[in-house]
Order: sequence, then C-alpha cells, then structure tokens
Amino acid sequence: MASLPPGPGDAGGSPARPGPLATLLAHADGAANRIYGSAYNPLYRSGAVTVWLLGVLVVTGLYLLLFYRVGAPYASVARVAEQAWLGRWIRTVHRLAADAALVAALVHAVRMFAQRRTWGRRAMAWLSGVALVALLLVCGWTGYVMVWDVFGRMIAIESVRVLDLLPLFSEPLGRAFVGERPVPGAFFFLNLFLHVALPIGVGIALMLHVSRVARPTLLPTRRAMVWGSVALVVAAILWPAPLPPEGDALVMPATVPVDVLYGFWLPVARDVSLAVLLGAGGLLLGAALLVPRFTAPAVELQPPKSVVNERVCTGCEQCALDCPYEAITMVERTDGRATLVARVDPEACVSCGICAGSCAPMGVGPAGRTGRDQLAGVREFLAANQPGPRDVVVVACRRGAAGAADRFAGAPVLPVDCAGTVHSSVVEAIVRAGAGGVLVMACPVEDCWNREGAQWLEQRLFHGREAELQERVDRRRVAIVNLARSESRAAREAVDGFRSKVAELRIHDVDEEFDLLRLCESADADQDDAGAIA
Amino acid sequence: MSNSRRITAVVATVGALLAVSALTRVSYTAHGSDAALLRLSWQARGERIEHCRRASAEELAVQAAHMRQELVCEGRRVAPYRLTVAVDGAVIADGPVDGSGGKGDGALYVLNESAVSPGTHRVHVRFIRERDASEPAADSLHDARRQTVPPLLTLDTALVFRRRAVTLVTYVPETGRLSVITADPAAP
Repeated sequence: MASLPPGPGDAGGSPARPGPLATLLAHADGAANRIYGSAYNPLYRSGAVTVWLLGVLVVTGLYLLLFYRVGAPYASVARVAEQAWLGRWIRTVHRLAADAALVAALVHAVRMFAQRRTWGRRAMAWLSGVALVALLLVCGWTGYVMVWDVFGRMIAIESVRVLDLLPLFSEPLGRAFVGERPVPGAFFFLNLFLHVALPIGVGIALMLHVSRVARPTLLPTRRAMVWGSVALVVAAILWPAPLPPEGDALVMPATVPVDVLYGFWLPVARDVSLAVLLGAGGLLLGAALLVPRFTAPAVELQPPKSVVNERVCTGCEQCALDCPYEAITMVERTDGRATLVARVDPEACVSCGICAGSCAPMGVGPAGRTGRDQLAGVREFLAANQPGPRDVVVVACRRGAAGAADRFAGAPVLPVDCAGTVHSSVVEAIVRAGAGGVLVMACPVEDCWNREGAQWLEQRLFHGREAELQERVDRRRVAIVNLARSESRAAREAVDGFRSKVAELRIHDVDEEFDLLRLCESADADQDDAGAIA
Repeated sequence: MSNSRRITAVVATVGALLAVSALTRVSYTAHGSDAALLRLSWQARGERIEHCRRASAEELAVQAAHMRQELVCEGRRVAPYRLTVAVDGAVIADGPVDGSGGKGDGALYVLNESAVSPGTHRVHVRFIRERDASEPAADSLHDARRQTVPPLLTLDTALVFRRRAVTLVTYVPETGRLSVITADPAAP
C-alpha cells in the first residue's frame, strides 16, 4: 500500500494500531463528542480545564479566606456552611473544583501517556505535570486539614506519621494531636500558609509546563467557562458539601466521609506499615518520573528531526511561524543571498512534520516526509490506484477515523502521519491526476496530536495561509472533515456525502503531463544554473 | 451549538460533577468495633546521667567571654525509664523508654495506645527510672534546674471506658503526677 512515511507512534502500538489505552480514550472521545461536539469536548481540553478550575479555586478560596480563623478553624468553616445563600455553595464549588481539577489533570496525564507525548522535547512538560499533580494533592490535603473535621484530622494524623519517620523534628509531630492540649493555632497558621503559598508553586510549575509550546491553550473557550461555571454552581446547590463532625482527639468516629480522590491512601496507610507506604509512594513517584525514559522509542526507531534544504529555502518565515514547538528560527544566510534562512533546533524538534506542510517550495521537514517526499509517495499512490473522475480519494490521518486502511467507504486511502503535515501540492496532484475529489480526514482541531496541524491545514486549503492550495484547484473538489478515531460512522457518511457532491460536478480533464515533483526539480536546476552564472 | 445540545452538555457536566462529588464523601469505616482506647502520652525531661565538674579559672580564661560555662558536663545521656501498663491485672504494655535523639539525650516521649473493651476497668500505670549499678551519679543541681520527671510515677485507679472514646493518661509537670483526661460525655 502506498502511503506517506510514519512519524512517532502512540502508547503500545503504532498510530494505525493503537494500544488498549488509546483505544479506550478514542471511545471516550467519541462519546464526549456526541454530547459536547468536538469544539467543546472537555477531554480534548483537559489541561485547559484544569487551569480554569484552578482559577475557580483561587476566586472561591479568596471568599472563604475572609471567614477563616486559625484560632477556631472548625467553627469558622461551620459559620460559612451556615450561610445558605452564599457561603454554603461557594464552599461546595471550591471543594468540587478541587476534585474536578485533580480528575482533569489525571485525564490530561492519561491522554499524554496514551498518545506517547511524553518523551524527548515533551519530557519537561511531563515532569512538570507530575510536579503539578503532586502540588495539587498537597494543596488539597492542606485544604481539608484547614476544616479540621474528622477527615481533615485523619489526613493530618497520617501525614505526620509519615513525617515523623524522617529525622527532621526533635519532638514527634504526632503528639500535637493526641489530646494532651488543644491543637496549637500555630499549626493551623502554618497549614493555612501552605494552602495559600502552594498555588504559587502551581503557577510556577504551570509556566514550566507550557514553556516549550509556541501557543499554549491555557483556558477553554469563554463560552465553555461560563457554562462550566453554571454547571459547578448547579451541582453545588443540588448537593452541598457536607460538614462532618469536628475532629476530636478523644473520640474515635465509627465512620469517616473520605474524599477518595485526595484521601485514597488513607485506608491503606492505616493498615500497612509506614515503610511499605513510603516505599509504594516512592515507587509510584519514581515510575511517573521515569515515564519519559521508558516511553521513548529506541534511538534507531525515533523519527528523524526536521532539516532545512537551504538551497530551496526562500526565507519566508512561515515554517517558523507554524512550528508548534518553537523549534525553527530564521537566521542570516552565509551564502551571500539576501534572504534569511530557516534553522531547525534538533533538541526542540519533536519531528511532528508540520513544517513540511508549511513550506511552499518544500524545503523543510523531517527526512522522508518533506513536501517532495510526499509528492513522490503520491505519484506511487496514483499509479497503484488510478482514481477516476467520480472517485473520491481520502487523505487520512493515521490516528483518525479511517486509520491506515487501504480503502475506506469504497474510497482509496492515502494515509498520512498527520493531516497538518500534508502539503497542499499533494491535494493538487491528486485532483489534477483525474480524481473526482480529495477528502482530507483530519483529527478534531482541538485534538491534533501535533497541536495545530488540523488548524493550519484548513487555513492552507481554504484561507490562503502560506503554502496555500493553488487558485487553479477547484475548491468544490476538496473537503476536510475533522473526526475522532471512534467516529467511523460519521466518517463513512462524510465520504458518501462528498462523493455525491463530486458526482454532480462536470467531469474534469486529466492533466497527464502534470508532475509537480518534476517541476520542482527543474526549477531547482534553473536556480542552480542562475547561481552558477552569477 | 443548539440549545438542546447546550442543555444536554450542561446536564452531562452537572451529572459528572455530582459523580465526582459522590467520590468525595465515601463512607469509610475508621473504627469498626466498639472498643475504647487507653492512650498514654506525655513528654518529660528524664534524669541526666553525665559527669559534671566546675571549670577551673584557667579553663575559663582561654574561652571567649560569651562561651564561658562554669559547669562542664560530659558523657551526657538520659537515664532509662520503664513503662508498665496493666488493665484489670493483665499487663498490656511493658517496655523501656529512652531519651530521644541520636545520642539519647533528648526528652522522653511516651505514646502508647491499647484497645480496651467498654466498661469500668482497673488501670495501673507505672513509669519508673531504672537504675544500673555501674552508672555514675547524676548532677543533682543540674537536674533540679531542669525539672526532671520524678523517678516513679504511678496511677492506680478504676476508669470508665466509653465505646469508641479515648481515655488519655498524661503527665503534668506542674504537679509532678499522672493525670486522666476523658472525652466530653456529650461528644458523639
């Protein structure tokens, strides 16, 4: 089967044959798309949803802080909970947002892991993400301890049991909670300080987290935030957060309402020795930190980084603008030509191939995946399939609904690593070879594995973004659909619908002489000759 | 996005949030039985075992003014103590209590918890300074300043243990005695 060369795979398989986690994720994405539509699918924007929820936590936390007293923690929270019109649901929103933020952060981590976006250049994002989740957990624990109900007291006791193992304190911290004397206000002050100060650490970790991305999506759309806030408030009003009994050193409650998201470790901590608990925690943290190492393919299997053909580069800067990872810069030429030339930083390049689609003269891209390589692949594909004037050719992202099948819904498929890497000349070559139309099947814009591929493709084909589809190509013969992997039914419908539209068009002429690759080569030769004469 | 889809999305989000909310209030059985708890907890300064002598005038003269200490003590550690707890005549805890810290010269910390069936029980607590024939005499002047724990602390009394309540036995330095603290009977 003719296809364009592959790029990096996903967890447990290649893009065409995803692992079980990626498959599960694809089904979840499909279900969420049916409810929200891909533009508002919270799974696609799990990272941005986390940041928004952190914002909700800050705003609601400031209100709660007005009423909190370190000298009477439980009583002050109880007073807030008694404010039926404001305090009660603000406190519930605060708590709910904390739990939802943790869930969203974990969903985000699972997504990145399943998509193998964890190694190489992305390792920093993964490691800072682990730090973010850890900070979020500690923030949550200090928040529960602030209330000093039976659950908060339980967290404090089990936490200091762990801390007392370390040779840090002259007096065992656990003695503060045995009931000899009231828990000192200094403890609650320190806890409050941590609860307020740790979000600053979260902010720093977040800056690191997105530091290697050109245009990070920090927040969901405004509309999504508004409706999300409405949902938070409605949920808070429907089911306000309970206020369990006050923690008392001399009373052992039969049952304790536990937040399993933040307190998942408490039942275990009470039943196993601290050494086992610390060992398990250390192993878990170590495994999380080692993910970039064990998800990285062997060096010989890693896709090649982008390179620039300086002879072809015109210095237009489009590849530097389009690169989602700021891996391309424009520098002065050394060959005497007046223009700038693109330079790829191999340390920053993730080999996504977006630059291959952004370069009109096809002078940049990972080896084997440049625009010219794509044209060579298309020539082979057309020779093998010979699409007729009523045929639709599907150019499909391997991670999308059509996968890497030979044919999909009766149409020949040209699988590509990412729709965003497709050079517009590929589309033109297929149409001019006589195919009735080209349907590009891309991932949803919000879920492009290379961040902005689907977005740039749409702009290149229909909105004149540099490396645009030439005016001479009939736009009625070109279409894009953005669908998730699990949306194969919608994909079939899209192919059938587009085929019907193409059938209504007049049969166009086949340009048998047209060979864009040969044109490129002869243009290069002319340029070389001109250079030699000069 | 159509209105019906918007409403569906909000309902789905509220449903998801309520599911998350349900995860924040899972009832965990922290104490399955009705047993009460006898907790012994205190901090005390133990008797020091050390060789102390008065520094000579010559020794003090070579020290900087702010470093001069008339009493020079070496080989410092805290004397060993032993805690014994018996409930209705049955010994439930019996073990040494040593000074804290790497050198064993820090405060004595006692924390011992034992489950006890609810009801009235005779509790006998004994905290005693153990002596070793080979140990040197302690510097009594030094210890007097430090308010050390008495060489023998005892408590022998009948206590009422309520279900899932903690009865705390602690040492009060001001009185030099063991004291009992119980939960407020009105507590749940």
